[in-house]
Amino acid sequence: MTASHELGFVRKYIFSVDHKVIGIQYLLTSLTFLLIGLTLMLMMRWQIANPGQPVPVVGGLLESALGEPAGEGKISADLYNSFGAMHGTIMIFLGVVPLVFGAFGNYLVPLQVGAGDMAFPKMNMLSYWLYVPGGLIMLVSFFVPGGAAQAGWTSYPPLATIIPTDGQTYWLVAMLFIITSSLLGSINIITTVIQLRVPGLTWMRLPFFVWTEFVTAFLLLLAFPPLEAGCILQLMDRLAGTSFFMPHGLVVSGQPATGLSGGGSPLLWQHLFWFLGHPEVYVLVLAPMGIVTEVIANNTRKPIWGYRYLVGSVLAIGFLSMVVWAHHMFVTGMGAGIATFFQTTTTIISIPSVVIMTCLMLSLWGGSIRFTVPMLFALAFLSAFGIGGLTGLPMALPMSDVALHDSYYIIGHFHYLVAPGTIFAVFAGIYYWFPKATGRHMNQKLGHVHFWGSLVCMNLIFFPMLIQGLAGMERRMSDGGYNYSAAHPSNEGVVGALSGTVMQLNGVIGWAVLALGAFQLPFIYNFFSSAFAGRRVESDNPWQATTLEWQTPTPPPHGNFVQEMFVYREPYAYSLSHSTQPLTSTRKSNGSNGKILDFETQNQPVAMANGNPAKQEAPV
Amino acid sequence: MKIPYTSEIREDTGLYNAKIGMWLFLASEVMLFGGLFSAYVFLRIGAREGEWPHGLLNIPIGAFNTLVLITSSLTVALSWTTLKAGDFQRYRRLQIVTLVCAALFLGIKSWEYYDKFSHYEIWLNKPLTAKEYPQLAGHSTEADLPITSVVGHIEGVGPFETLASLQEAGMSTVKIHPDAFHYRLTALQQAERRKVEKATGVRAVHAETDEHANVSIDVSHIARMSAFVPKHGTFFATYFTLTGLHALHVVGGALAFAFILWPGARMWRDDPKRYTNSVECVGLFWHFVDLVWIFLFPILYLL
Amino acid sequence: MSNVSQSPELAVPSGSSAEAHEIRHEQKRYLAVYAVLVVGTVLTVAMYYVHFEVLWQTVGVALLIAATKATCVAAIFMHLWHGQRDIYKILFFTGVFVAAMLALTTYAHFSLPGIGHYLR
Repeated sequence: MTASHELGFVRKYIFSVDHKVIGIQYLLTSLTFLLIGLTLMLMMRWQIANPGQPVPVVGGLLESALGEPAGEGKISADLYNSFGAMHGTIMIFLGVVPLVFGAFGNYLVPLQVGAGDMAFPKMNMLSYWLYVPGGLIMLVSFFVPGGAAQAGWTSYPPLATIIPTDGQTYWLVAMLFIITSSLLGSINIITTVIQLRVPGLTWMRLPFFVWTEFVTAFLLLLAFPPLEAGCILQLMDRLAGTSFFMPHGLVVSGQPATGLSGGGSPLLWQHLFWFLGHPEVYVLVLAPMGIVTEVIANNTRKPIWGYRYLVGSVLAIGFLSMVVWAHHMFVTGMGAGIATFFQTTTTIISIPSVVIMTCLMLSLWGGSIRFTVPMLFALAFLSAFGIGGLTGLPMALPMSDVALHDSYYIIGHFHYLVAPGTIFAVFAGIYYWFPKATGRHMNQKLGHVHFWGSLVCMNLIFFPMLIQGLAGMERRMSDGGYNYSAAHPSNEGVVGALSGTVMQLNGVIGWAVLALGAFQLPFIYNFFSSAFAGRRVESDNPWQATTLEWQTPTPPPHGNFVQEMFVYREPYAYSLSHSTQPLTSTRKSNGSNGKILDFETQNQPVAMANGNPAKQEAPV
Repeated sequence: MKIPYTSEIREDTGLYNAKIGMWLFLASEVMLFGGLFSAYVFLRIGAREGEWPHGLLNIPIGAFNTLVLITSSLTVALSWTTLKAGDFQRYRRLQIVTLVCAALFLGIKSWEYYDKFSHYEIWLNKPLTAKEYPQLAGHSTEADLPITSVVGHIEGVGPFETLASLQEAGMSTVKIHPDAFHYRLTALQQAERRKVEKATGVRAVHAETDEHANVSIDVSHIARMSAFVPKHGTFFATYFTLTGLHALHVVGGALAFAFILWPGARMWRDDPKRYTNSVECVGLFWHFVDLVWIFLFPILYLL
Repeated sequence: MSNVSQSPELAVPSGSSAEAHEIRHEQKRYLAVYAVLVVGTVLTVAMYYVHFEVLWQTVGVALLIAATKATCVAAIFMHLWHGQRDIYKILFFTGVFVAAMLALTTYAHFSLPGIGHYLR
C-alpha cells in the first residue's frame, strides 16, 4: 500500500503487478481488438453487399498495406477468407475472452472476495504480457507473404495445412501465447477465490460474479490444453512435415498431395478444437451473466431470486459444457448412438441456462427498477440471450442441425449470444464499475445514445441473418451468395435459389454494421472524456451496492482495502425487512448521512435489537 | 502489499497458495497430455492394417532411461524431507543427484534421437524377392514373397539425408544394414507367427542371424527414402512430439530446481518454510513429468 | 552461498524426536515406492519379451502396471495420500474430463462403419 507512489511510471502502469492496473490494461487492449474485429467485419460486409466493388475510403490504404490480395482496393476472395478467419479469432480469443476474464476477472474478483491482490501478482503480469505478443503476432500475420490465416477461426485441416501462407503458422504460434496467458490467468483466479476469501465470505456468500469467473477459470484451465495439444500437432504438420491431420490419399485441386506420409485424420483436429470450442462458448457467456446479475440486483434494489439455483446452474453448465462438443461436428457424420449422446447432453445443458435466465427474470419482478445505463444494457442482454439461446435449440438435434449448420442461421444464432449478449453485458459492466475504477461517472446522455443505437443496429444485423439462413443462404461466401443465387434461377423447388428479398438483406445488414460502428463513437468519446473530466462520484459507493468492491477508497489504492474486512451476510441484502428498522450507529456511520438505507453491505456487522453490532465470530 | 498464505497454510483448505496453483497447473498438464494421448489412441486405432510400426525403438535404453528418471524422482522426494528436517547440505547433495539424472536422461534421449535421425527406411520401386537378396531372407516369412522396403542404418550416411541429397552427392549404391525382421511386424502378426512356430516346431529366421548382413541397393531402385524423422510416418510423428514435449518438461523442471538450488537459495535464510514449499511445488511438477514418462515408455516402446 | 546452511537458528528445527521419527518414516515410504517403480519397470520390459497371445492382453497388462506405478507416484511422492480435499476435487473433475475426451473422441469417430480395425 505504501510503495505505490515510489514506483516509476513503467512499474506502475506498464509492468505493474497490481491486479487493477492489469485489469485496465486488459480492458483497453481487448477493447482495441474488438474495434479491429469490427473494422474487419465492416469491410467484409461491404464486400458482401457490393461484391467486387472497391472498398470506399480505405480501399487505397488496404491495397498499399496488404498488396495484391487487396488489388484495386477490392477485397478478393482470399482476403475475404483472411478477414473472416481473423474476425473470429480476434473477437473471441483476443477480444471477448480477455475482456470478460482478463479485464473484469482481474479487476473485480480480488475486490469482491476482499483480497488485497491476486494470489500470484507477478504471474498475473506475465499473463498480460503473454497476451500482448500473442495479439501482436496475430496482427503481424496480415502482412506476411500470403496474408493472414484463411481457414476460419476453427483452422480446420487439411485446408489450414495446405493453404500456402505463413499466416497460419503465425496463427498457431499466437494461439500458444494466448493459451498460456489464459492458463496463468485461470490458475490465478481459482487460487485467489479458494485461498484469499476474507473471513466470513463462505462459498454461498460469494457474489454471483465471482462464481461465474471461478467456473470460467476452470473451463479455461481444463479445456484450453487440448487445443494447445492440437496447435502443437498442427505446428508439427506445418513445420516438420508430419501428417497428424493429413489423411491417406489426399487430393488437392485435383492433384494427389505429394510429400505426405498420410495416416492422420482431419477429424482429430476437430475433436481437439471443439473440446475447447464448446467450453469456450460458456467462457464467453458465463462471466457476462455474472456482470448482469450484479447490475440487476443493484438496480432492482432486491435480492437476486434463487441465488442457490444460479450457483447450481453455473456449476452444472461448467460440467456439462465439457461433454457436448461434438454437436459442432454433426455434419461430419458420426454413428447414431454417439450422436444421440451429444444431442442429449446438449439439450440437457439448456436447462441450467434457462434456470439462470428465469432467476434473473424473476429478480426483476416487483423490483423498483432504476433504469440506469448499465441496467438498460443488462436488460438487453436478457432478451438477446433469450433469442440466441432459443435459436440454438435446433442446432442441438442432428437432424435439424445438418440442414442449418452451414447457413447464416447459425451465424445469427451465436452472434445473438456474443454480440448483443456478451458485449452488451460488458458495456453494462463498464458503465457500472467505471465510477469505482476512475472516481468519475460516465455521461448518461451519451450512454443512452450508445445503448439505443447499438440495440437497434444489433437486431438489424443479426435478425436478418436468421431469415437468410432459413432461406438457404450458405455462410462463408465471399460474394454474399450472389453467384450461388444466380446459378440457380429462382424457380419453385430449385435448391439454392435465393429470392431478391433475401439478397437485399445483405445491403440492410451492411448499413446496419456501419451504423453500429458509428454508434460506438459516443462510447469511445464518453469513456475517455469521463475518465478525465466526468462528474466526480459523491461517495465510495455511488450505486449503493452491497458487495465488497464498493468498500474501498475510490479509486482503490494498491492493496485495495484500508481496513480489515469481515463478511457477515449474503451478497445481495437489498430491501430486506430488517433494513428498515431504526438506524444503528454502525449503519449511520456507513456514509448514509442519516438517510434510511435500503441495503446492507456484506461487511456490515449484524445489528442486534439493542442497536449494538452482534459480536459474531466470522466463520471461516 | 503482502499476500497471505504464501508460506503458512490456510486452515479451512489445508493448503498454501503455491501448492494449489501448482496442482491447478498440473491439472491443465493432465489435459494437455490427455489431448496428446487421445491423439495417439485416435491415430493408432485409425491406422490401416499393419501400418503401425513396431519395435523400432531401443527398449533396453528406454528402460534404463526410465530408471534414471524414477531415481531422480526419489532424490527429489528425499531432498524435500531432509529440507524439512533442516539439513540444507544433504538436500543440496540430493538435488545435485537429481540434476545429474536429468542431464543423463536428456543426454540419452538426444543420443536416441540422433540414432533415429540416421536410421533409414527405403521403399523399393522394384520389389525384390529374398532369392535375389539372400541377405534379406529374414525380412519376409516366405522366401519368394516380394520385399518392398528395407529398414536399417546406411553405411557412411549421416542423419537427415533424403533420396535427392544422395543423388546429388552422386551415390549409385547404398549399403544398408537391415534391422531384424520382427521390427517390421505388428504385434498381432508376431503373435500369429509365434503360433505357427509353436505348432510346426520350426523357428523362423531371426534377428541375430541377419542383423549385420549388408545389403547393397542400387539407388535407381529406390522409390522413396526417409530417415526416422517426424515426417517418416504417424508413429514417429507421435513419438517425437510426445517425447520432445516431455523432454522440454524435463528441461523446465531441471532449470527450476537449479534456480532454487543456487540463485534462489537466499530464501532459505529469509523464509525457510517458503523455501521448503517451493521445493515441494517444483517437486510436484517433477513427479508429474516422471508420471507422464511412466505411461509414455510402454505405449511408445512396447505396444 | 555456503553460509546459508550454517545459520542453525534459521534452519527449520527438526523438533521433537516424534517429528524426526515421522521424517524417517516418510523416507522409508519413499524408498518403498522406489522399489515398486523399479520392479514395475522390470516387469513391463519382461512382459514385452514374454509375449502374450493377444494384443489386448499385452496392452491391458502394460497399462495396468503403468497405472500401478502412476498411483504410487501420485499417492506417496506427490502426497495425495494425506487427505487433500480441494485437490481431490480438482483432480476428480480433471480425470472425468480426460476420460470423456479419450472415450468420446474415439467412440465418435469409430462409430462409423469402415474405420478402425482394432475395435471390431
